[in-house]
Amino acid sequence: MDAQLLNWMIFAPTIGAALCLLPGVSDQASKKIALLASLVTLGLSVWIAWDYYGGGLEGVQFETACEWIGAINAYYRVGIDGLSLPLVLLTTSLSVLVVLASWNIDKATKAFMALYLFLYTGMLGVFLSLDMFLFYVFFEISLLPMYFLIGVWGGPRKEYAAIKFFLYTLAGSICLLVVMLGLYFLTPFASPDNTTNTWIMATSDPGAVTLQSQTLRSLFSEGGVYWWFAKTAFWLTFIAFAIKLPLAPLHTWLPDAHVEAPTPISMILAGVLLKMGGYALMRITYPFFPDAAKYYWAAVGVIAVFGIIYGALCAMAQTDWKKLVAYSSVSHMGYVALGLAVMTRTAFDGAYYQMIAHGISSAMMFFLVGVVYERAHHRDLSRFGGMWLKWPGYGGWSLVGFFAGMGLPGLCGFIGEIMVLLGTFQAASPGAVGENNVAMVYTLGILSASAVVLTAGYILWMFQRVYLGLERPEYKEYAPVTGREYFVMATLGVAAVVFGLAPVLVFTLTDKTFTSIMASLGVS
Amino acid sequence: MNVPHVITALLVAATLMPLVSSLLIVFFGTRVMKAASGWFATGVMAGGFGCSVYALVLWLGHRPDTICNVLPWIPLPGNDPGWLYLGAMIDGLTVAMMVMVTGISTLVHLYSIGYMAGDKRFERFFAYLSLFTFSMLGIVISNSIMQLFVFWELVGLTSYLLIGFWFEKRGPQLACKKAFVMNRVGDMGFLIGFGILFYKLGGVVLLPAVEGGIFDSVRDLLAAEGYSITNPPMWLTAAGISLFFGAIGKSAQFPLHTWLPDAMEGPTPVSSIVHSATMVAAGVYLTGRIYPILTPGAHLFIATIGLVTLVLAACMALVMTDIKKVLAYSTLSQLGYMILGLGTGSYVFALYHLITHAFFKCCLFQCAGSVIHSAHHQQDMRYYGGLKSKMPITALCYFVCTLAISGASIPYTATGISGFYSKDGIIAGAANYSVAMSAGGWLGGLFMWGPLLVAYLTVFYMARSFALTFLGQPRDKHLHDHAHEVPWTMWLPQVCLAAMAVLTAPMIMGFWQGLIVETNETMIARGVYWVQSVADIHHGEHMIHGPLLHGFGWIVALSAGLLMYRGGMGISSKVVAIPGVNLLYTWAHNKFYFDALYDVFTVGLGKTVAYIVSAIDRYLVDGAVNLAGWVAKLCAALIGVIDSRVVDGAVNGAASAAASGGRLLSTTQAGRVRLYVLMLLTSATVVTLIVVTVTLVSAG
Amino acid sequence: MHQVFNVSLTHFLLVSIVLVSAGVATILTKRNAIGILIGVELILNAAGVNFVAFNHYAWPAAYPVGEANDGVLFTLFIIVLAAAEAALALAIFLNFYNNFNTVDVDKASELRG
Repeated sequence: MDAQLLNWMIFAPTIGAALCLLPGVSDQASKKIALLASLVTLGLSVWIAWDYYGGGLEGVQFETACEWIGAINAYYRVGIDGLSLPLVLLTTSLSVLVVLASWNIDKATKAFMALYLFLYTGMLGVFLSLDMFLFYVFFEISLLPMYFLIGVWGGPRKEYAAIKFFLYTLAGSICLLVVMLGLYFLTPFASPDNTTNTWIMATSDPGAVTLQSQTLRSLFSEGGVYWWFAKTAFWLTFIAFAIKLPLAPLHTWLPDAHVEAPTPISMILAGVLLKMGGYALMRITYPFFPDAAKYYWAAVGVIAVFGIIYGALCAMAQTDWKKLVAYSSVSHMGYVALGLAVMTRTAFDGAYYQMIAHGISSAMMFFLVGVVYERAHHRDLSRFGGMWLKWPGYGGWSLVGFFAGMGLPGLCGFIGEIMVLLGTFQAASPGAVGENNVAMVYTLGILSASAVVLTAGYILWMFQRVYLGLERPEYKEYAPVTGREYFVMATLGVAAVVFGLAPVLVFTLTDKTFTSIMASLGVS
Repeated sequence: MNVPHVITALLVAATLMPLVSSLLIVFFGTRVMKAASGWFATGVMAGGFGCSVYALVLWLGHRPDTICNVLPWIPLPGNDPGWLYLGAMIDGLTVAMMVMVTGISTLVHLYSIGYMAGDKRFERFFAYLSLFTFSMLGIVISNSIMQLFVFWELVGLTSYLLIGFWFEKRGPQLACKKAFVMNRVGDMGFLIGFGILFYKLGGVVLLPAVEGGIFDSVRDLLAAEGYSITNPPMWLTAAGISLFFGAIGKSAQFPLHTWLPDAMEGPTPVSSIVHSATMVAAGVYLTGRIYPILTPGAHLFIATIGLVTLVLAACMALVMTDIKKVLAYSTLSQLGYMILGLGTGSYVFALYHLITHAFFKCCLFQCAGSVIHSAHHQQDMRYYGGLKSKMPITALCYFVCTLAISGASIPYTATGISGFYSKDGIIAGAANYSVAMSAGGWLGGLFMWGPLLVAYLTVFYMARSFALTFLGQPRDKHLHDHAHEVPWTMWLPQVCLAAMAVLTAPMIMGFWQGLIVETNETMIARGVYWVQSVADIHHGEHMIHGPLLHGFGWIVALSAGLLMYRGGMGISSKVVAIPGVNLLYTWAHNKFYFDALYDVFTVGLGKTVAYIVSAIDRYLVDGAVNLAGWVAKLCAALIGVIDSRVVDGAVNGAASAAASGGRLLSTTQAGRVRLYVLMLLTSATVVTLIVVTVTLVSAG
Repeated sequence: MHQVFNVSLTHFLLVSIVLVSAGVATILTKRNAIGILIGVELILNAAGVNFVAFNHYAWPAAYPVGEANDGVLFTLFIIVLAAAEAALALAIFLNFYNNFNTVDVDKASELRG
């Protein structure tokens, strides 16, 4: 087991970015470099996953720690565990497809590829940092390339969308920063000598003081000295990550960003960047402040269910195809929040799986939209129809993609939703958060179940307007779907089926880590 | 050799074979197999049928109830250590259903080869059809509610694809969407019920009444909480009713029944399989599987839904002139019988009716399809007439199945055609139930008289459709000239199905019934609440012997229907004249308004009822669905506006406030250096003065 | 014996006040860029005088050189900075003159907000 493997993986894309920017590298070559860098990173991630599997699937592995800013005790500390590994694999595999999807970018290709690879390092860094300061840095780093990718290569209102995306997310980061400072000044309580500050979120070192130590937990527990801080910090971090997730009503950056972003960027935005929010909720908000989470579970649950239904209704009202898909993301990410809110193992598992599944299905949906948009140059749902007759193969894969998004059993979207739903009902069991508020549990469960009707409504209505019916005359001028495009569709489509049938692939990796997280949350 | 394992393997293979053939056709159909796809799919399906039959033979020797877990799927507590397994659950009912579904599906595949010949998406049709069968087989073989739900949704998906097969046209587009969405409304209830059970039982529940199944878990839990199934807590009734909502959607029960007539937009082979072996059967099957946990309240609810559906649907079937619509409403009505049967506790006969109905309804639809096929796709019965001479085989099959659905029997003996055995049992069971419910006054009586009267109504409207189509003189010369008997791929399945429907020998019928009785007896032995044994039901039959189908009643109704309509609409228009409603009589001359006249008069006693029911169906029930859809769209639009104006407006407002503040300040940046220096000096002076003042004040 | 005129800190400060006032007055009244530059130089020199004076009276023993001569060093910095600034400013004025044919600072309003 090579300890440096992880570092190579994080910075392989950066090396690729640097190569892309070398003078003399042509546009074509930069695409190939990007593809190669993605493949190398994918290979490394698979190698790491294999080693992690061989290493007993337990705890944090591949940990590297070296001092970075001594004055504030900040370390460069990275490592991988069951919470991050599946998301890392999602990122690395999706990235290859994203590079393939951006093959047609002809405006400043070198810069595009370099920025994309830089973003790639940022995403991996977020998932792999174990030091909160480092996490924050990567969290911010991932914003900047995205800003340019939307702002330069985007659609007509790209500047507006890019600025909105940047500022909105930055506002969330400020909330996170406040909590970080607070934690930083409270951590000495947890250290043996009462003076050392720490940023460690998780580590394989059993002697190390982390932000999840028992001492801190008791300070933050109900009745503890810093209970007030825990309550505030819970909401601040929740808001920070709910913006990223995004959870209605903090979602309005998302439709604009998606509508303006070029197709590959939409794919990575929906597929990976949104997952940072959910991941951070699981890594920071809930494990750090479990008592506050239990205290506010009902409020979080209500917001989550509101988001689910709200997103679905908004999606139904859209006439812009890409916006419809964007709003479906808002609705789907509501399940992640709901799964966390009710704090049962089933729901937690479901919330995590929902992120993986949504990474596949939303990336696929955006790609499917992109294939048509590249030829039609508009996304007005009322001006389509008969697409299935035009391209039967494309229509077939679309069926898989959109029905995966709808949560059809046998496809990936189903597992997360059903587990969250069942886990929600479970929250009324003795010892769970909703024990004394069964009416609330039932309300949340019933409302989230009702969303299946709305989801079916907007997906099917969209499907009818785009795919069914007769071909339109202007389709004759459309170029045929290329083999490269079919490859991307088929890969995502097969993944949607595989992850619908074999969630064991993910849960094997996460099981032990989740067991310890649930134990530390103090719920069954 | 371990027999239960072999049976399981055979049935799992039978389930998976259509899936494999479907995938092969999807990927290689248009390029490699082409027209052979149909034969390929039919062959594979026949292989599945063979497996099922062999499994049945083995099962009869040992009768082992088996549950096995095959594939770990989702980490949910309760079923095995922490994992929900995909697997199989096999008892008498499963085996019977497997044989029935694979058998009927094989025949429908064969029929489709003829019916769909020349369609430009011929191969794809067989891919869908096989996938559809696979989904239904998956439901039948499921070992847990969760797995059942998976295939349940797949049935929804494939029915969407099949109903919308001719998606170029607007009708199928709307119909397939409507079917899926209305099914999802039912699924929502299903999910809620499942959620309640999951929470209460602490995990996924296995389906059957055998050891360790859903019934044991619930009973133990109730005992621990101080309840029993006859004195149930509210959650159990709620869970039962919620789960049943799934069945309401899938089996098109009132009030979610309106998708089924619309689903006629699909190709006729689709109708023949949707209305018999798959899809609508799934709802009844689900209710049969969750039966052990149903409480008295849930029973009453289910029985009421069944009763309302069977009455409403029969009334609507009386007024339709589209041959497929008549059959569609008759399916609804027969499903109502099954649901009523389950609600009233005649488990054996309800599920038995599911199987007998599957054969004759599939045959009826195939016959209708053959007629439509040879009649320029004209579906209106008013243009038919006298087709008997042109299509003798089809006419014979249709007539046999009309007798079967009517429950024809030799008067005052216990010998009849398949439908007789099953429907008679349901009515007798309902009579028992109505006696048990006699505390409810005359309302309890409805459970007995409702299905009884509708049974005669069924005979009448089926006779009507037969007479209008096959008897009398041709009413459309051109159509009649063109009509011809269908090719053997189409009439052979019809004959097979009709033969199955007519096989009256108690041995054969008793064989199907016996498989279900097996499951029934297991439930009785384990103390499931309110399951009527076969003996109980025979007792019920004796109680209301006279009015039952045993008598001459069915012959009277059949003759009335045949005589009235054998000459087409002529006699009915004379009948219309007798009551002396002149206005309606005037309409009789206008062919366009014939429907309305027809509606009012042929229904006889129930004329007003039929009118109102049609209106309720169209404006109230369907209208409510449309209204709900409209309201949802309105809400969505409203929220869309709020989202862009209010929620997003706040965001933009903050940004523009910052921008205008900046603009205001920038006006002072006039570029005059001396002005800056003056301001600098002034501010410095003021600050100094303040500092000095503060210092002095605080010092002194 | 002749009367020794004892120069105190106040005298130095008076000189620098005069210098500052003259400089500010120049900047405020002159529109000519060169004039303004002269005014700026006056103010800088005033600051230099202050630094040297304070240094001297704060640590008399350190005069002329010693450990505590921060003020003297600052003055040296100011002189160097003033020279650099003058060079830069004159270059800017020259360019300004080339472009606008004047050195009137009120005409330099291209960047007005």
